[in-house]
Amino acid sequence: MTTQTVVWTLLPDPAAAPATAGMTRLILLASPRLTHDDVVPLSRYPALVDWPNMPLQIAVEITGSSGTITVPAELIGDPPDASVWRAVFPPELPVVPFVFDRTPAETRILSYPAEPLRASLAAEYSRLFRPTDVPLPVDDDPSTRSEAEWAAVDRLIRVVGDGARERSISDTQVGLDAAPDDLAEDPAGWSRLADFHRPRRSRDPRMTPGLSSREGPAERDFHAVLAALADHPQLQARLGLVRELRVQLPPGLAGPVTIRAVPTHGAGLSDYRPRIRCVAGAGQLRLATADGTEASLYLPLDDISRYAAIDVDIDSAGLALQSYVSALALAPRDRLAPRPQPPALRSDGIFVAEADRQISFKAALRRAADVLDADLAAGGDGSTIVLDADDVQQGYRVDVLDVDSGRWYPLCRRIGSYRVAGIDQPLPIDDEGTVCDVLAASEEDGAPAYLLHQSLFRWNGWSLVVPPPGLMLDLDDQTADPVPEPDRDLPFTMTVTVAPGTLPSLRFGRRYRFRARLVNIAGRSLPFTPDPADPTPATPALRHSRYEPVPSPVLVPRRPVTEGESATVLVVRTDNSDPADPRPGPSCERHLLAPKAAVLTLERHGVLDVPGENRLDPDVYALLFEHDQGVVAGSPDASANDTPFIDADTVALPWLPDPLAHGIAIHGLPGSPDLNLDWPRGDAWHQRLPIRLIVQPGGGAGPAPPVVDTTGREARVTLEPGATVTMTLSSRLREGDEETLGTWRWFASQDDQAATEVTARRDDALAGRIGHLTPPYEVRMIHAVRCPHKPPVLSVPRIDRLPGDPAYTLVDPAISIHPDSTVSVHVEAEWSDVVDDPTLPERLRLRSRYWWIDGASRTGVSGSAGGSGMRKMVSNLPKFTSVDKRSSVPSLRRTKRPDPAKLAPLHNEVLYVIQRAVTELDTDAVQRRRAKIDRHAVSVRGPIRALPPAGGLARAAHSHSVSHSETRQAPSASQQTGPDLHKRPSG
Amino acid sequence: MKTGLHAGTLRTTLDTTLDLRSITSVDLGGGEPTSHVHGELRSFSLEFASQALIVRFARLAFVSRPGTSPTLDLRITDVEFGGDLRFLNALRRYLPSPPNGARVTARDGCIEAGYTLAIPTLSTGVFLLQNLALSASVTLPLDGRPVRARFAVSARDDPFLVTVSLFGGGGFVALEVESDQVVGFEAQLEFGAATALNLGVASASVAVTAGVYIRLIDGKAELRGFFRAVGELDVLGLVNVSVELYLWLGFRDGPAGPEAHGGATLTIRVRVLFFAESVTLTIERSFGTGSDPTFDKAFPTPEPWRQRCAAFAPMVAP
Repeated sequence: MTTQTVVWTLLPDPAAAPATAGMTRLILLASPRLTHDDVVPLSRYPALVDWPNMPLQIAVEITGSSGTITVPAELIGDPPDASVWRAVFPPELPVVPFVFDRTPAETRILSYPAEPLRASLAAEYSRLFRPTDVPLPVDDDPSTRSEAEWAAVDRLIRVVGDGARERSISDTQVGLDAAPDDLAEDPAGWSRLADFHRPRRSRDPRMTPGLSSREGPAERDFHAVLAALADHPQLQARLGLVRELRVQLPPGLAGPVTIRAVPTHGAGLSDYRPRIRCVAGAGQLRLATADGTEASLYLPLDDISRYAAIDVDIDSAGLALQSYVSALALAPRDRLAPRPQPPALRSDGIFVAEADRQISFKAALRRAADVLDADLAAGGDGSTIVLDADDVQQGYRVDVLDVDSGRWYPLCRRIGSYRVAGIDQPLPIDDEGTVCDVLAASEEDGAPAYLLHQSLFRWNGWSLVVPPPGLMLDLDDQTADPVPEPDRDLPFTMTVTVAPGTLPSLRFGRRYRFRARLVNIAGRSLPFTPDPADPTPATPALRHSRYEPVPSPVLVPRRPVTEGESATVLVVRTDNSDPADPRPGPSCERHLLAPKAAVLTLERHGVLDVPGENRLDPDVYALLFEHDQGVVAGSPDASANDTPFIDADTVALPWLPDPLAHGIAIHGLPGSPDLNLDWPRGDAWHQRLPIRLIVQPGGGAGPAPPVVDTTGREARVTLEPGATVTMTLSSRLREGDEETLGTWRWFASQDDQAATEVTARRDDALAGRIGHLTPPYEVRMIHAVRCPHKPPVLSVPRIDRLPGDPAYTLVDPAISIHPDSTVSVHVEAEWSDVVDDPTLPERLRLRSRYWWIDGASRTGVSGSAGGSGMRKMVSNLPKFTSVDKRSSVPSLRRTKRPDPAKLAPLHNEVLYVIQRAVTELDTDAVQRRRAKIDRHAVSVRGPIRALPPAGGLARAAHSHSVSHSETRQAPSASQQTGPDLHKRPSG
Repeated sequence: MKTGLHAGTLRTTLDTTLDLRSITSVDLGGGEPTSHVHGELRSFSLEFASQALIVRFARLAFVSRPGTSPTLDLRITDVEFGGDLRFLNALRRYLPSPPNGARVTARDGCIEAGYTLAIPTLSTGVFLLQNLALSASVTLPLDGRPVRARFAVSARDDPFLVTVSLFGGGGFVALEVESDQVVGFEAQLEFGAATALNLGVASASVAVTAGVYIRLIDGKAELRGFFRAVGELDVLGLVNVSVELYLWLGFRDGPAGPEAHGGATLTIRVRVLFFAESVTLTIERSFGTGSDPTFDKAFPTPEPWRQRCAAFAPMVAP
């Protein structure tokens, strides 16, 4: 059986200018639904073959409190064009019978609450907002500090979750159409975010891409083309699917009414005519909401409890933070908590999110299926159905108010033309497109589900309804023209561009408000007006912030790297094997370059704008063309896997720099903890000249501050012999820049933030110490020497033993070493002691040697207390390998390894512990030596090749080596030739 | 030596050799006794997380000599990524130990061998990665703690730059393995592009933003991703809808290597279902092959750029 049903929906026309009193404009939308047992051509539906020529008369039935009247309506506007109709809907066009798809109404919708998630993100990032290198107080108890830091880690894990093991949320939603935003078990929505982005298969795992109106064979049928027309209101009017009417309202009509179309056409159509809820007043009809009050023609974006404009990419941020939390969860618990290092965030335009969108959306779907379609399917004629404003809304037209220029700009305006098959002349387009909804098919627990994001629309700097000009990537990832050659077989094609001079520009630091004009099912909305005086519901002003950090400077070696050197490890050397004639080696240099920014980042910062106009300057084309492709081009360094070096005094910046990278901030240099340099500037904004960092070996004159030359293009650092300096390098902001950065604004605007805290952190931010804003990286500078710069000097060493104690202790209250270049001090000592054994003919002489000074114990900062290598040491004092492993020396057997921690408090005292000595008899010279030991004559041997002082009875031989420490030796894969500690002093 | 996979990690072949020597010399004339320890393993590989990461070594040598600190010499010939990490294979040429060898440091009771590289650009198909900081290290503790290897490209808070035409993005990789297991792994790649989407017979052009996040869950690499397309979806010039849509995203084997692959089945304009059938689209898109377009490739002539500029209104206070 063939049925030709048409749903006639009569609507007040929001686009019409107010006419003379009592004369109102209405829009009539005809929605045909054709059904038959099978797929048949359109010619089998006689009423639809020549639709525009159908003799249509319309009257309007108005029902108010005083009853129902019917008034005639005048069809106005251009008459529909039968030739266009035949071109778009030719008689042979297949008609797949219309079936109302109940699936969306009956399928769960998954979403996640956007604004609560953003707020949680802001709170967590603010909590972690602190300098990367805050020195820890010396007396800070490591155990308490560690506990507090682990507590902070645990808290983050608890709040954010890793998104992997938390499926309990979806369990609680089983059976729900859609879960509300406010869920006690997932207050900020982190679990739902993870669930939303969980990799899922579509229902069809093989997934054949394509366009279809439904599961079925026909790709293009009557109803599919009809659906495609929804975004083409001009064409709908030309086809006669949308008609404009003029109606003379009865005088005195006021208050809530319903209106209903009364079509007369003589065609064999079955008319379904729902009633539309309106409010009458002042001779006009306006659409009403379900409660009978006049409906707004705007989305109520001023309702901040429901709508929020958000400029951080929460999908990216959320997934990245959960990934980080997964890594934190793996951190070994027996070590210090890892330093907080949350992921860099990103911006992706501004979007407006609707709270509980999934709930209202689901309700609309339910109503369409269970009320509207159910009535039609049951054979109703629409008389019992009253549609309200919500039922007839299909999308939005979005406008932006730029607060500083004080006017509205449209984002949906488009101009262009239609080309309709069979019609020679293109049909001009000058209208507005519509932003509409989309559901993504998915599954949840094996059952079908839909995903619906709470973002209603997103402005990323371009029009919402027109593809951007320029080449895009085609499916083979090659650049191609975005407008493919229109397929001539199509019933119609559209080519549109943005109307010139209409779009607003998205810029960091500017404030924007959004409004959304509602578009009804006939494609009509309020017309655009730029006038800000017209009060319309809009979002509060949002200052657009940048969330990407300012990258750290780029580092390029000047020369091929030497042994042990690499990109971030700078090594200079002095050969001081002859202490009288130390030979310094060459300097080690790096070019520091301002970091590159992508073109869109430059655009957002306004550096590509026409001065004073805040819009892109076409003349920057040449600059972008030349510089965007720029990369560091140097000579390949074979010793660094062919990464480049540039052996030149100065280099040019090959790319356009990040506009916020104004200079470099270096921390931890010798003699000057902070070095802040601005990039030397040229005339144009992008001319930021690279700086050369020169590290040169010093002669031991004491730490000197770095020297910056007068051009500002060279920074020279002199390293003391043996010194290892770990510095951090980051970009540097200019005062005021921090206000452009989103994470700063989050931190500064937290409710409980103390003003002093904000001031202190602002100083940190401007000095490049906040990783959220200007992430640092570590650079190590090493001055390697062959021997200690100065020999160790013992003050008053003595050897003690308590009665009955099997161990001897060598004590020196104030040994002096050159800490940077001395790893360990090895002591040889000889002394005599009395053995109370009358069977022995003579006194027993004890002789032994012992080597070991834990340098760390000298300073009270040991490696293990400072934190397992994960935390930077506070002190520049050297760390030593604590124990010499060579315990197999027969003359000395260590029974117990001294605990370095117990030595720590001694500070200026060096403790030598000999656990047990092997004795041997001395038949000569006991008396002589004994006399000397009584005087505590302990001598020190200096540089290894120097002769020791004249021997004494008790002799401490101190030799020293650089070969143990990474920090004081030329780092190397191969063994350094260090002095042989076991060479006996020749004296 | 027995060949095969040992302890789930160490792969030995017929070429593998192990050389262990410990020599203690005592000078009978009263000189100092000395002790040398030398251990060397040649031609072997370590495999982690079901071959997600394979590190091939030419040599791993530990030498302890009197008077010097112990040393670790490490020669990596090749690093290969498998599974979800295949996309990292673009980094392979930078991973063998540099000819000078790694930097050897001894601290906190460990010996560490490592190096860093500053890589200006790395082209991985359509993505141009720029200004990468690569670091690799192996730590051999002397106190019985497990051996640790760490490999990183840039950092979570300081990602490298990814550009595709005008769009910017970022990424980083951090991988840490301990003796026989991966103890930490994070990798991330975020990018934007103006691109076509495959709709079967048709294609549509939109601005996309995507992110891939790989981390370690229960010892396995797990991938999360989002793929957002914003703007006007022009299907055959016929269906024009302006939407913000989300596709799932993953990695798969493409014809020219691993590629990021996303897709979705979308139903558009569901809300007005009563008045017109909704439009259902199945979309997919892969990124992998192809060249990375810089500005000069995306705008080879000034005209489209002028068009782009001309669209904007001056924003000047009245």
